[in-house]
Amino acid sequence: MFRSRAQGINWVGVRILVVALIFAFATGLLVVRAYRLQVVDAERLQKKAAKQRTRALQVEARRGMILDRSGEQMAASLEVQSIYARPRRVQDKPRTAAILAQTLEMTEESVMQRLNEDRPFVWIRRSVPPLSAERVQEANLKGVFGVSEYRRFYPLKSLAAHAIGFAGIDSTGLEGLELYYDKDLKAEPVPITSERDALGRPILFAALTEGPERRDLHLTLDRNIQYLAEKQIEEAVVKYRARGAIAVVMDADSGELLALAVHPTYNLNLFHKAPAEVRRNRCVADTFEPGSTFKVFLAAAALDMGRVKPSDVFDCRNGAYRYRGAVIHDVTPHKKLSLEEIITHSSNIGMVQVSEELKKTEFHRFLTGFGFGASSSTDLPGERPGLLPPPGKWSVLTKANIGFGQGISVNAMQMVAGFAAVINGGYLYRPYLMKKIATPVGETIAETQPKPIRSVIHPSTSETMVRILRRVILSGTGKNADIPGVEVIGKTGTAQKIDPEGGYSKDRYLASFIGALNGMKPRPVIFVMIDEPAGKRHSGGEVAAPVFRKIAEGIVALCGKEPTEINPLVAAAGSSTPEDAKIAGSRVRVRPGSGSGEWVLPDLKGLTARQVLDVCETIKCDASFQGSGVAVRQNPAAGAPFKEGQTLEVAFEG
Amino acid sequence: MSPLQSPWSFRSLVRFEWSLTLIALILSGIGLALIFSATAAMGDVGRTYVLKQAIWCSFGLTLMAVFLFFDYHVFDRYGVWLYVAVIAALIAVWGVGRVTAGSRRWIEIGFMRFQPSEFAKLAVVIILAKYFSNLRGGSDWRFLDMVKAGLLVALPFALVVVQPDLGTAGVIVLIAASMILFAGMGRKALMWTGGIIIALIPVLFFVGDFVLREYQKKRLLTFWNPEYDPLGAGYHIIQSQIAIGSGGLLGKGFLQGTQNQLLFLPVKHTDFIFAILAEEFGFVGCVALLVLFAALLLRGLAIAGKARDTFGVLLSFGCVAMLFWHVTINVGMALGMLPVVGVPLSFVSYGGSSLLASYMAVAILASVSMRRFLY
Repeated sequence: MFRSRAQGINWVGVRILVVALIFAFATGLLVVRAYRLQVVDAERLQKKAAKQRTRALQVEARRGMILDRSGEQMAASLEVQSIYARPRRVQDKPRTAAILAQTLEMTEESVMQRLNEDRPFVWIRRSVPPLSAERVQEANLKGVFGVSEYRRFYPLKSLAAHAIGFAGIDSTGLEGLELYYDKDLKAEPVPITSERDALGRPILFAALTEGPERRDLHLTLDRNIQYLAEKQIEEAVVKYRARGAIAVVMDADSGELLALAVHPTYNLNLFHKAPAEVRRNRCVADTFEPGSTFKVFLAAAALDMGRVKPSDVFDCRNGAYRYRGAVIHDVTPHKKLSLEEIITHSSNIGMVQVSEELKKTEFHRFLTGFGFGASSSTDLPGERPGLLPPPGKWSVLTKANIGFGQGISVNAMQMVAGFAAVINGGYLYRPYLMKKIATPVGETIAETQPKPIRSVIHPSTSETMVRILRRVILSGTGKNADIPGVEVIGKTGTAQKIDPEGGYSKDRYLASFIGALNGMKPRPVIFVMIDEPAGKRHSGGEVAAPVFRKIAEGIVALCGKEPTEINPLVAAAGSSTPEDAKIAGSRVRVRPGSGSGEWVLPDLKGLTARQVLDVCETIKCDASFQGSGVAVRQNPAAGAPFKEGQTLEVAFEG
Repeated sequence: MSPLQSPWSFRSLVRFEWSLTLIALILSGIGLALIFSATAAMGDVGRTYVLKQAIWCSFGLTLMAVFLFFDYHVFDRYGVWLYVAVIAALIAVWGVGRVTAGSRRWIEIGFMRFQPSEFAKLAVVIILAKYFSNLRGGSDWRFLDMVKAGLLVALPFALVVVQPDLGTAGVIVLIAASMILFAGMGRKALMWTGGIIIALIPVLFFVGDFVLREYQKKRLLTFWNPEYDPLGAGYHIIQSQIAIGSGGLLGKGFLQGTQNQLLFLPVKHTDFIFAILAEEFGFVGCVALLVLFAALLLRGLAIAGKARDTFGVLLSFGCVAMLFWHVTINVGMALGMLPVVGVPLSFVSYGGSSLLASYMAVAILASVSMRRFLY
């Protein structure tokens, strides 16, 4: 056909030319488009590419630990694996769901439901056992990924549960100290820019070390005393079939809380299973009418004002006293009692007459001075300060009522702090749990310095009060709290609970005891309160005092009768100043060696295993013990230089 | 004159078509380098891709060398049988073919896999060249002639559509249309065909709704609006453009393309290999490649213009048209100008069948070129 037409002009040539033009045009279009993308839009697309392949990985930093005063871990974060999916990238959803369900012990439906969500990212399951995570990894499922997270773990389970509180799965403090010090414990996520490929796998990973950013919370709590307190109140709750109980132990001369026990308690690792009722920290969140323990404060106020003397005698009207239209009763009738005896025998009528010696405003000033009616400012969240009405609103009876612990509501923390002020020379301290916040390398970020908030009464008044409170134990209602050879002081309290129907309940009591071990240093103030003991015995002297005694005995056994530091080892371990570290309950001294981390071994002969262990703790050694009894031989020998981490062999006999 | 001259025409070897062969070899080399880069992240598995492609290259060269000893008029005589063989292979695919990514395209022979649809394009070129060159010359083609030609194309087209392989099917139609237009339809036939095509468009839409798979519909939809589903069907388009654009003027360097090496680019060693070139060698590399292809096509067109008979003209033009559409569609797709369809970049994309077919096209062109002086 070309031939027939190819007369005159070269038809093929023309067609070829036209096609060549079309080709040139098409190629031109492609080049222009390429120019647009690669030259005009290059910068924008380069940014897009960079954004796509890099992302600021929010590497969750490890939450700080919570340690007791000897450095024992009470809360720590463990690395765990979590499994997530990018549903749009999952290819065979039913198969993926089946495999995941089997490996992660979930139902197929629940996995499928997650995979079907129209979101770019869904958690399949968090905190899975390492083995399961490994299996998921091995299954090599498209669109399913694993990631390391930290999970909060409480090695001591329920110990000090209410003080510590807990952190949730995102490492956010939800209750207790975990909540109060959340900002300090929570290390900011470390943003790490990493390259990643299209499957979201990081290409470059900045080395993830245990960053010094971690901040640990060192507590004033002593896990031994805590354990002791918890055990004793639990036994009491069982024995007296009570609803609950609390015990608080505080150093009277600093406000350091040594134990904070609440019953019922719960396992922190399973906090989500505990009802709110159980999780509530009754030491700060519950307020109550204190009852007779409160007589201490009226007595202290009256004595301090010089209105009464301990020997002043009041007529106690044989157990029934008509006073401003009301009748005040004593449990045991008395005739004439001195102030000292009024406290010792806990006479309400006596206290009413003592209250007559003070004006409303004076008494109120002392009460606020002791910290009542206001938050104790302790470092626990959820404190309710209770109610102390202003004197203007007091009825004719209020002053007298408060004098024996009615018409005012307080919390346990206030009671402990107030009582400490009564016996320690008059200084009100803020009760606290945070000893210091420090990094793992020993840098202290924050430290609580005990500082008296105010002086409430004169030291001489305080001394008088101590003497009076000693009599309570020796010859009064607190006999059950006595420990031979130890200067126990204290006051009993038996408060009728307020009936929801109005008035006071006839059979629901709060049995309490507040006291201290006066001879010791630190001087522990111990407050015990048993909530609604069932049965005939319900008074503070019968129910709470024995619990106090057992806790006190335990503390004495732990710390020794003589004034000693409860645990000076924490300081010794971290401090660089060559200061002799004293060993609890003994006279063994460990001298630091020439270099850092070096010690001079003491002579261990005659020490118990426990004492040797304390030494070991100080000098940070591995101990190898043989036999039982007291130490007879040691290797290396006494006086030898000793490096931390070395092994110390000790043989015991006897 | 006899279409089959002496098979051993040494005289023609002197006029060996050096330029085309050289360009084909350069393009193959570029292809091997880009496949190496595309599969570098796969490690040893990636090496086997490069090795296989190299083997296919040598196959193609051997085939070309062997073919040069024959006159291209073997296709005039045996073209029908080649066509029948391809149709048979396309049917065979339906029976014994391997399913990959939801469609049957492959026949396995030993360790090699053949994709008959790649050869179907060549078969269509040959059969149409033969058909049109054998039509009586002079007068306009009649409508019936168009229907016959249409049927010759429709058979392989239908077999490829059902695989389903829309890209290849589209290329078949485009090649056929190019050849028909080139061969010069009369005004009457042109109007008839044009009218029918326009009338068929709504029907196509209607049928398309039934026939098109969900992913195919999505691809067409997302072509117009890639952000519609950035992680789904639009992913290819967006990623390809990001890779190309981030290459900039000079590129990031061989093996340095982040979007490539970090696996953001999809099907990168086959359909999106241009994006790798663009990312690693930049605008300069793209232009160089396009210039090479343009040279190849123009040289092909020149050969067509100087062919000694109508069959030679149409045959060589058909081969050029095939290469043209491959390059234009593939590069246009990578640049985000055309919808994503599975069309390879001749010589460069990974794939033995495509490579062989491309070498055969070049061999045909060379043969036509070398024998234009033989009368």
